Amino acid sequence: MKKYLKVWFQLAHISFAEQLATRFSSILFLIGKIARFALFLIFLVSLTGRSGGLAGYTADQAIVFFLVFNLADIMTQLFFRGVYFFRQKVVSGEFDFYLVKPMNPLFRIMAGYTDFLDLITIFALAVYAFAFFENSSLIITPTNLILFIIMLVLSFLIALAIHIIVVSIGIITTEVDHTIMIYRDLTQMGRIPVDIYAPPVRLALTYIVPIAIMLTVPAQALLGLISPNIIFFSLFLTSFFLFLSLRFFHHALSQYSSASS
Amino acid sequence: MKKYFALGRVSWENGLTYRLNFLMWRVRLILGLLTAYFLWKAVFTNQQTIFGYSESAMITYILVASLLQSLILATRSIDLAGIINSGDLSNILVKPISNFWYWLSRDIADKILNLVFAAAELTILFVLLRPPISLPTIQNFIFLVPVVLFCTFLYFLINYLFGLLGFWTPEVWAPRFLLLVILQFVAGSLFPLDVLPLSIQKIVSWTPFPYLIFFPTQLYLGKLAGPQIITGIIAALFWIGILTFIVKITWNNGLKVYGSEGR
Repeated sequence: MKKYLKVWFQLAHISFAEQLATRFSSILFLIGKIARFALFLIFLVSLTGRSGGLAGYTADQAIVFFLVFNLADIMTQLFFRGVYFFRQKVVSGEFDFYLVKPMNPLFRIMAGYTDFLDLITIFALAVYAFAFFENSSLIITPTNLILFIIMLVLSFLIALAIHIIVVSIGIITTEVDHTIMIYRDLTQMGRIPVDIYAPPVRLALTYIVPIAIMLTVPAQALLGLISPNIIFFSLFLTSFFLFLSLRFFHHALSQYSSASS
Repeated sequence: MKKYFALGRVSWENGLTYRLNFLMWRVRLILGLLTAYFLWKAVFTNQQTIFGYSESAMITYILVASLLQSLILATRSIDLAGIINSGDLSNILVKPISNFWYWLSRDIADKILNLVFAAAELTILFVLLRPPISLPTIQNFIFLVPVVLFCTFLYFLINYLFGLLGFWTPEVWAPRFLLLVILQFVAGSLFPLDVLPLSIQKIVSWTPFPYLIFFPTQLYLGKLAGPQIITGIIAALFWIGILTFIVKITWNNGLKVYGSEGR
């Protein structure tokens, strides 16, 4: 564990240095991320303010879904950004060096590029969330908060499983970029409660790519709208999904033939 | 002109070479459309109208905006900055072709490819979802064709200009990312700009972005009176004029500093 922490800090340090070297770009990326958050929030507030809510949820509840989506999305990107650069590792053969090191290759793939801009974005998100909850009529009990944290951990594990699947597909086909962007597009569908989607879409977002478990269920936990059945089901589905993803990764490794190194 | 047709044909074939890539990209576009579609369907569950739109008008807006997006916002000139940074621009400069028309030909081919597939996808979605849609009047349709052409050219100029930043900096992706984020909200592709607060609508109206998707879609829906259509066309042409001038100046200055590094 200490070894992994040490390596993570070293890699994060290198990423941070890279971002400082391109300050202009980093500032624009940061503005873009905050603008994306702010603009969709303005849209959501305008929409729910006029319509009085969304899919049976009040305006405030709809905003909670959006905030939880942002938290889960930023946390995922903070720790798993390395996947976006994985294709180049496979085609160049650099992935071979990951495989021969005394370290889980998945860790090296995913944690290689920590984006510190996401830390700043989380801070901005926290500031807004604090102000929002202070002024809203929503009551968050300690039980809701604990359940929310548990669901958030499951959300993180599902995101991990999905990224493992993307990496595995990348090893077999070298196609990573569009695969990971499809994942991003699917998570965008979780910006709002998945209840709005037609039943077939909702089923797909629950059982095939569990975006509902990842994004909607933690928000429902925070709002006190979750039942024990959903909690146990989420736990079971997350475990099963993670297990499947690791099996798929091992299968992908058995198919891997190095391009060059 | 023959050489530009040939360029367009090659660009078309390029687009279809990596089929898995292409398929995944189409899947992504469908997901984006489905998200917007279901969102507005949910909004209209308990409402007859919102922001002055009926369900039929709003769903039509989303579908038409998606189709227009495939035409207007599709681009290959996103590669221009990389070409400049790598020095590969020299290959274009030594040939008897204009860089501007080179990228315009490639863009047109990409837009046609997008349009063909978007039309097919929308047809399939229409059959599956049976959304309520409205059709334009003949008069609006007559205006729509030149307006869409103006909007397409306008976006090409914006993209081309961003590509020319490659003459001065290798960090072009960051400004482009910011542009894409802003466009997502103020071009009208995700929702009509009437949804936004009036103060923001006023600010946005001073930019070229509403004339990309929002203006032609409003024209399709018949939400614009005659004078508004004329004003919108004049505004779009104004922005085309301004941007053409800026592109010309930027290109000329860019060539002066171009060092063909990497070649």
